Amino acid sequence: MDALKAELKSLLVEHLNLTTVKPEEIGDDQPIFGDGLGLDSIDALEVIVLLQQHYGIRLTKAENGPKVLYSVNTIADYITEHRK
Amino acid sequence: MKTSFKILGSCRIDENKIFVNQQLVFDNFAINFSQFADTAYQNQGVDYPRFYKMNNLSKLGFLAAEYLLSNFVESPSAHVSGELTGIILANHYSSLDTDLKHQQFIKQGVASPAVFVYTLPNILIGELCIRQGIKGENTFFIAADYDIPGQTAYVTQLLNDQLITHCFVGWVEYTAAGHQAFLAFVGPSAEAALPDYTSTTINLLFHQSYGRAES
Repeated sequence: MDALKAELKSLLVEHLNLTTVKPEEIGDDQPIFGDGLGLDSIDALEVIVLLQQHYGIRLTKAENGPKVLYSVNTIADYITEHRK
Repeated sequence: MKTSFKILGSCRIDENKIFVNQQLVFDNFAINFSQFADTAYQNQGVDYPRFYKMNNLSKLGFLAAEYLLSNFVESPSAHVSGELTGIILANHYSSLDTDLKHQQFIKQGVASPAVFVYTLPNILIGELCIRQGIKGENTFFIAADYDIPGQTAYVTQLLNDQLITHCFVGWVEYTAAGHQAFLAFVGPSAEAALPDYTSTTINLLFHQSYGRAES
């Protein structure tokens, strides 16, 4: 699980061009949208594409988005639960 | 009485050099645009993480505006933003560099939303409007060449009709083969030393060789 979280943090930094953030600076429970990492709605779409590309996971229900994409922990839990 | 409009400031970016009011203010050896843009951004000391998410065309225009506004002859702060400030830009290749990137992603099977949103040149105008608070007339023209007489006539008409009092004008072009940005801020001024806003002056500022400033 820790390896997955570390990988996720690196992918977020790389895919979202978080040039001023180091992966290790992102807290497991830190909200990644809004006041957290300051991500916006386009970033949310990028994260959804990232999940699809790297883990073969589709976020089928839009209403689950805010809950699943809340933090690295919630994304990692979702991946673990849904990964084939 | 007809108002005389002046060029309150101008910025030109030629490859790795940034000139403000014809004076070299930043020169950097960079192996590519990305490196140049990041260094030029950091040199300004601004904190605007959104910069790193922009496409290259937007980064180029953003830098031109940042350098222009931080090196004004007259203090224009009251006129840079608001509904009476316009922005009229042009280029030849539109957002082609980003369009090609988007096409590449599609070929690979998954499009990138962050790339897709920059597949229009007027997104650059949107970025500058967000950053500077510009809310007036805005248009991005795509043309074979920089139609300076046409752009100047259009902006002068907007100013004379009092639809706007100030305007950013210019040409911002980015392709994989090279880039060039020219941005000027125009409006009324009683300062005789400032150049008149005419197509002849803009033509001179856009085309002339600035050379290197003394350090």
